[in-house]
Amino acid sequence: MAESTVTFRVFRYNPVTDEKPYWALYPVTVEPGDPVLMGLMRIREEQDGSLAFRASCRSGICGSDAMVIAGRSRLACKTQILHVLNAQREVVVEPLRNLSYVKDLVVDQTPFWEKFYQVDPWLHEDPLSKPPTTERLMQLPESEFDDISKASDCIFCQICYSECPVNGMDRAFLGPQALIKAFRFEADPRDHGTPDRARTLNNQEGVWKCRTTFNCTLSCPKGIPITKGIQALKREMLTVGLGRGGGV
Amino acid sequence: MAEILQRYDVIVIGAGLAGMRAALEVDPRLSCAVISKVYPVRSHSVAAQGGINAALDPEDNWKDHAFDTIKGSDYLADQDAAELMCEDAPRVVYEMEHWGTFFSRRPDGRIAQRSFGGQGYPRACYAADKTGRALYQTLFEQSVRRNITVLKEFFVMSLATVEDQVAGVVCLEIRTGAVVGIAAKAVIFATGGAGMLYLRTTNPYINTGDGMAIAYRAGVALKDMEFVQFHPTTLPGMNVLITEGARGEGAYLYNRDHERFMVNYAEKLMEVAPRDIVSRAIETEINQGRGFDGGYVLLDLRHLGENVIKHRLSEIYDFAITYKGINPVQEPVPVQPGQHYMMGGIATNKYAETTLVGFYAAGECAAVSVHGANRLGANSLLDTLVFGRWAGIQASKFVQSNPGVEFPTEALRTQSALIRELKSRHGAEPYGPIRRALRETMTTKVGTFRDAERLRQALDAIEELEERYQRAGIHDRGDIFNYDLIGFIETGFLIDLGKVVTTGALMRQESRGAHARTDYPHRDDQKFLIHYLFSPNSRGQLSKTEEPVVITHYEPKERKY
Repeated sequence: MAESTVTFRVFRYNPVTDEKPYWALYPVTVEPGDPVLMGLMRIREEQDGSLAFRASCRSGICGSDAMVIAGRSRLACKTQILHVLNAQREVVVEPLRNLSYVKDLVVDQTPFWEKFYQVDPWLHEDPLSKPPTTERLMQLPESEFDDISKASDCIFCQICYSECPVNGMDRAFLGPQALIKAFRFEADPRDHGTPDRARTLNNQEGVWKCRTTFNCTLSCPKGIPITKGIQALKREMLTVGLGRGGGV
Repeated sequence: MAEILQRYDVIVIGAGLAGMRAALEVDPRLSCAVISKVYPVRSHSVAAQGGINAALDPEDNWKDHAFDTIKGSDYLADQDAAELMCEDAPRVVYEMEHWGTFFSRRPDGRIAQRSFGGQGYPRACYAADKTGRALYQTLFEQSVRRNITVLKEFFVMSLATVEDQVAGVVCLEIRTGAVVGIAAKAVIFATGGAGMLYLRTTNPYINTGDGMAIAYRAGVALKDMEFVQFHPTTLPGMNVLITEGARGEGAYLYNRDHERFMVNYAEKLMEVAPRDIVSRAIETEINQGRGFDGGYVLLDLRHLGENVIKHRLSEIYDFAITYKGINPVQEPVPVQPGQHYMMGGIATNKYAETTLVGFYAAGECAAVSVHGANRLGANSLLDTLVFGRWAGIQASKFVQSNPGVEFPTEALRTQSALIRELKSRHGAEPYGPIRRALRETMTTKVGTFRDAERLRQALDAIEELEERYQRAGIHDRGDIFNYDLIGFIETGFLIDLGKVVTTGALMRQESRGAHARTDYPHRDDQKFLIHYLFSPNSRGQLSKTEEPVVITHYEPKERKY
């Protein structure tokens, strides 16, 4: 296969030694199909061991290696180098937005996780039910099943959080990821958590803050229709929880 | 570089399925923390695709599941442990469903089950082809609900012991670079596999065998390490996994002559024969010139139809398009075998106990042994949940009756001194080329087919790499997020494990399960119906002991499919 050389233009910052961030340039030999992550790994293992970024599965399922590549938040393992070159044959790599950078491409994820915890992200069982000793049946129309299955695909990569313009302006907004997780349970017929979750969802910083720009839906590497899920939550909050938890 | 000491009753190393299940089982009155070198949802458990075996159907029987598991293991599994696991399987599935796992369903509302390699009945319960993620998210959600403490991005470097008892671990806090001692009365390892030993692997970067190597260095034996599973179907290049569920749903394997070649290797089960058999078949086709240029064969899903592919195999549909530009609805997918799973690991009994007092292990890092010489697909998720739970139960019981031992602070000092010394080396070779050479050696010489000559070459090569490693160094001398330092230490773990795997493979002069010796093509129950256990002797060299295989009801027979 045809090898060629490209340049990685990487956002670098070490809070101990650097006054401010700077760009570092690394030449990398690539073949068609090579993902950005492979290039970054080669830089770290062969050129500059001090380059910090998170990575694990290499196949878009663990959500570790989200970063801004060529201006958009993407998974480095699911983005082909040759697809994102600029006119100078450079790949421009930066940390995610809406989360503060710590070192190089590593961001502080704390606000993201705290918002996820706020939606009580677990299946709330019927308080009267006992753990089953036999199989519990569940029948759902295919489209409803697919909606929950798709929402369960979230890999916590934080790309939607980074691309959401509302998150950018209002750090208190729950953000698309926490909301699609809430939808995953709210849509599940086994769940009884609506009264608990409505306190967070039916709130100024909850579902009503979403302005349906669809950035989350467009950027999700798992193809989850996040905006659609958030809209479904808004309708649900209107019918079951109007006035609860503060409202707008 | 700060040195800190924290204390818990029980600590669990690894936040994947086995670790989380263990933590959820620890008596809530005890203080407990889960320690992971990554954030919880990044663990490799989320990558499991195909399913979790359980004899749920009234027509099925857990004893048949146990038999299939034992036969699949080429009779090296300890049969009492396999029986315990298979009998517990339906309870595990009901519990996970109750906690929220969103399984695929049959039209009548029951949990859907599909065929899997080497199973005599379709008993793999699944959530499309993302079963690991579905199960893992459920446990993670339960851990949030119960406020389980997770020390995120803490890299464990060593076990602290006092004589024959565990005292805790020493780790590196990745965010700060502080060396942190964590004292605990009981320690559970659930650290996963070591796929980074190989160049072609379905495993993530983080699977560097840390737990196995750390236990080994602390004198706990590793068992069955010569048995390494190669998954038959991975995408050439990044070796992204293509689930066995594809063949479970009915996909075919073709060579370049458009022959369904499995007819020549497993006439009855064909494509759903166990993984060792299918992997060897594919390698044989390629080696004999019936593969495609680039070393692969084809997996054809087209006759399954768009609906099955997009609903039950949605992840691999996406993988084929993303990584190969191939739409499996319209074109067959290129596949080749890749390292996938370590059958071997930290030697435990069927209650996750090891020989070190207060120390437990579960999941892929452990060898109970339920998988013996070859693990059947959809048995590893089950393994993590069954034995993770046992580790939690046993560790809790132990702590309730044992005060523990004082944490030896020299364990902390040893690790800090090591890091300081490493950071002071100048002009040394980085670990990258050494790690890559190790992975190349393991892939070319300790792969699917093995022989004495190449295994000896591999051992020599690994010893040379070990010498280079002793003199190697790191580039990043900083404290925070120093992945160079972590990569360096992990490479040392991999070298230790590479030696154990290769030595075991050389000593086992027979072919059994995933261990195929071209110079000893047959199974030899007279000499080798035994487990090999390796631990370091006082001079740090490998020393081998043997353990008999536990036989309960199933006499070893020839394995035919």
